[in-house]
Amino acid sequence: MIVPPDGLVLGGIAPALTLLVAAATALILGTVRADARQGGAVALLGLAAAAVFAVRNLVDPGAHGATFGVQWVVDGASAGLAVAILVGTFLAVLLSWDAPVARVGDRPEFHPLLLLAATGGIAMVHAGDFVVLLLGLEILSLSVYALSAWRTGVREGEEAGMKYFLLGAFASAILIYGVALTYGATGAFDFASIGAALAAGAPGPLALLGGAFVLVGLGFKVSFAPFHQWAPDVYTGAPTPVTAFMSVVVKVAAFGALLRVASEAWPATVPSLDLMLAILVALTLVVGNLGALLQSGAKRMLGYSAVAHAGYLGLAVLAAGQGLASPTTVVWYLLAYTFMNLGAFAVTHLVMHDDPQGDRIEAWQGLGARKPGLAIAMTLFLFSLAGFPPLAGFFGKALAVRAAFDAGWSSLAVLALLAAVVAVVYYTRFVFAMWFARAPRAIEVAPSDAARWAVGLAAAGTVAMGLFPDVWYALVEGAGAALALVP
Amino acid sequence: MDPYWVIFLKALVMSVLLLGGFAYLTWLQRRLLARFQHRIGPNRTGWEGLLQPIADAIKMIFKQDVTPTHADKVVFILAPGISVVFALVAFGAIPAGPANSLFGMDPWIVDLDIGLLYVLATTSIGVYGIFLGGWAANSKYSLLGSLRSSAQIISYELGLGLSVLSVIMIAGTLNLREIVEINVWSVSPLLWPGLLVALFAFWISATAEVSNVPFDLPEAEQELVAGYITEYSSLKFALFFMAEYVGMITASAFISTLFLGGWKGPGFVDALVPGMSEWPFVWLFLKIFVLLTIFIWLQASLMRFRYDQLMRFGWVWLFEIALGAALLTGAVIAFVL
Amino acid sequence: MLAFAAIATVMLIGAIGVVTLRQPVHAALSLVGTLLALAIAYVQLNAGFLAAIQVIVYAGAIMVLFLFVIMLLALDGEAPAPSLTWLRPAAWGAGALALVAVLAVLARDPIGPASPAALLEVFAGSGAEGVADQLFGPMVLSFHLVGVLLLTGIVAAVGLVQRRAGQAAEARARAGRAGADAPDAPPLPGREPVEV
Repeated sequence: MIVPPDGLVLGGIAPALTLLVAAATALILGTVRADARQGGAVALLGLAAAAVFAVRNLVDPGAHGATFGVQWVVDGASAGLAVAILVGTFLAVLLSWDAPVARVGDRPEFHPLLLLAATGGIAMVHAGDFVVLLLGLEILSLSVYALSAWRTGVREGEEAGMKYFLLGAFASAILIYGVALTYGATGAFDFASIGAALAAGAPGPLALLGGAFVLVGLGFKVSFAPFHQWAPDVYTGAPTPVTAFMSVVVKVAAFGALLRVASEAWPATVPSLDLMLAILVALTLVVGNLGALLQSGAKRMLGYSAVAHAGYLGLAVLAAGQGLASPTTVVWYLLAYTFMNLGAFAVTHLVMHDDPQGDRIEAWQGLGARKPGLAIAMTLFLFSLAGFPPLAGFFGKALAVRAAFDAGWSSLAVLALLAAVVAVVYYTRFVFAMWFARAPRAIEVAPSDAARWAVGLAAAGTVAMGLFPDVWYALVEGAGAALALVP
Repeated sequence: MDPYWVIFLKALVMSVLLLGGFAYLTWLQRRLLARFQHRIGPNRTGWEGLLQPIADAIKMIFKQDVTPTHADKVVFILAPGISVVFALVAFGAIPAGPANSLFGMDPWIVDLDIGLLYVLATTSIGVYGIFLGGWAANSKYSLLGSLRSSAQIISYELGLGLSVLSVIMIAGTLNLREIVEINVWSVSPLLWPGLLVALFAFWISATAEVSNVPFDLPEAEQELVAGYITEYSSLKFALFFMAEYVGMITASAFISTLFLGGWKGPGFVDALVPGMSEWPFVWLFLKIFVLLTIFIWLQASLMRFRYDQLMRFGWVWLFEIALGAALLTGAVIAFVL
Repeated sequence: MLAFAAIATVMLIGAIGVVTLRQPVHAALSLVGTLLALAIAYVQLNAGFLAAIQVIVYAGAIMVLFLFVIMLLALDGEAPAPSLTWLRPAAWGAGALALVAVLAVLARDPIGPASPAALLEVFAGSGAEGVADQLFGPMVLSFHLVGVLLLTGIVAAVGLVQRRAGQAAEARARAGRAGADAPDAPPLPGREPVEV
């Protein structure tokens, strides 16, 4: 006889279930008629439906809590991150609507893989134990490995896929080893029990080594230095819509997981793990920003900029993990990052035509004169990434730096502020090229309607989050909370 | 449980019986095939040709044993051994009668809680023999044959595993002795459709696993000379053949145990002689004999699959049929019973 | 104890063979031997289910795929030009370090032979039923997620394999755009399984 386990609430996993159904539908329809638009339409519908469930999880306090034992946790932070993942995937599907990558040979697996990746990401941010976290991570990673090598006969694409796959598999192995060591030290997979076991007595070398391995494994996914080397290469080699997708969705999911691990599994009584994280963050801030300064192509620059932003997010995670800042800081930053980074990659995609050799600053010269709309949007995204008020990125960086100050990491916070100044230089180079440099040759840019929508929505999100930062903050934090930069 | 030396003795006796079974299975096959083809078959050596297998064995032993120059010697010798050992070992978990019925001892070698998985596991190791044999010979016919046959065996293991699911779900155990005692057909008539389909799928998969016609591509004399055994001669050649025939016997025993009541006889015979359906060995031997005859019958009646047909049939049809049977059985158990 | 010592020796020899044998097929076979020995060790610990799964999954499926790949690539055992010369000594160094660490732990807390009763207690519930109770009870969500993971793997693999089809279609599209008589694109393999 089938006995359903107690306390099984399907509402919590509804977003993931909806995505799975959509992925299956797209796959089955794809066997009947291989058409990229059909897959895209199914994906958009599924994502919208999943977003409804995710928003319900977010705003309805009755939906919060753990289900499936403790394996799946729904709270403001996880539901908010799920919304960010869905938004990112939605924009990526819009962007790839008419993109060659989705249409190559009309392989119907493209959109299902995007949906499956999003499912894995949602599982990661909701994970209540290491088992679900790992499985979610693997689902997400496997899809993205394949997607980054999706272009045919492009050496850079295949190199990107291979590199990402090999390094990613290695990082996963380290993460699994870390989980195994942690299990050996504490006898538990779920974060709450691990945290309790570690807080109960002085953690032995086994637990610390396990924690360090987990940090390295997740640090690879969020591209912390020195595990960041794959990021610029893979971002450049992968098809740009896929880069746009992975640059935000993988980051949201991995930071969601890291946030949960840092705040629940690593108690404040174990400062050495926080110290390790802090060192990684400092390295990341320096390497990401200096690396971005040296790049001449937009995709590579954005790749390093993603590393730099991982530093700021790491600051917020560090503070939130110690319980000295609200996890909402991380969630807020990640949604803002989703809008602005995906927008930047979207415009890059339209300008570059998916030409692997086209990743040079020359491609941007004179864009302001030829396509003022696109250029304005790109300017918005870049300024937001640089952290100019009143755009979304400003509040993100400001919140992260403030969280670091609150948590007592003032030297890190100062470093982050200095890095922000450096960041202005490399972002504005591209803005300058668009508006004030003359084009040596006109590159035809003809965005499709769907891509226009993607850029427009991302720009609207970037501006709206900057103008009304309180709305999203209150949604995640709970009713009545307000975002305050100055205590 | 029996003392260790008894188990060892039983294993020895079983191996000898299986090897003898192999020898006389070749005789049976040749005589039957001859009949099917309006020939007489070997009937010169001994009464009705009954000494023919022994003559063949002597001939095999005294043939020259050739090892190709560029062969990987270690693996070349290891491969037939692997094939035979795992083919013999697989038989050990199959019960041939009720407990204590073999002169006060149990009529099985080992009684494992996971007997079913044990048989599947040991047979799945057997593929290494074929695989390595073909590779070590360093000949293209051998390699092609071994690649084909391992691909075939791995593909049809799916059907095998999936069609067993119905039996496991109904019996609720992996222990072969308990599966026989429960008798999956007696649970409910509602389960019969699922079981019938599972039996059908299992039988076909097992036929493919032992590379019987119509799945005899690994050898396919007409196309691949002799597949993975092209370069083998003398005893090693005989060992491969032995493994194949023992595999057929094991497959028949496995089908009987899972689906056809194992060592038990039909209930109505108890009306003739009380307790007859509980006689050890008799019924299992009878069932194995009938199933082997059907295997040989197939050899005389069917044509070989083409390779792509074989793969498509395995992945597109058999896989789905076996899965459907499992789903059907599961649904009946969950929602009706 | 004697049986364990024998099995452990086999395992160690196999493991050493994996890293020292030059011929990839021999190394893979060594690994198979190690895995089988490990399965026997499981049986000795009264964990029969684990042993069966070990044999079916690792020795029966994964290693066969390994060998398939090795044979299809036709590796002849000659090492490729060493591009990372520091890797081999570094790997030996790391292995030696790990060995020292294990020995140090053993020297600090020697592990004596466990009593059979204690072993039975540890492996209670490791049979098929115990595993099923865990899988379909507290771990049911992970169980389903593994299903999603496998689906993802299949979809990703099929998608990547279809790339040849994609290339042909692209070539045709490019030829169509150029409006010239391009040489015929290679025929579309369609969705047939690749023949071995």
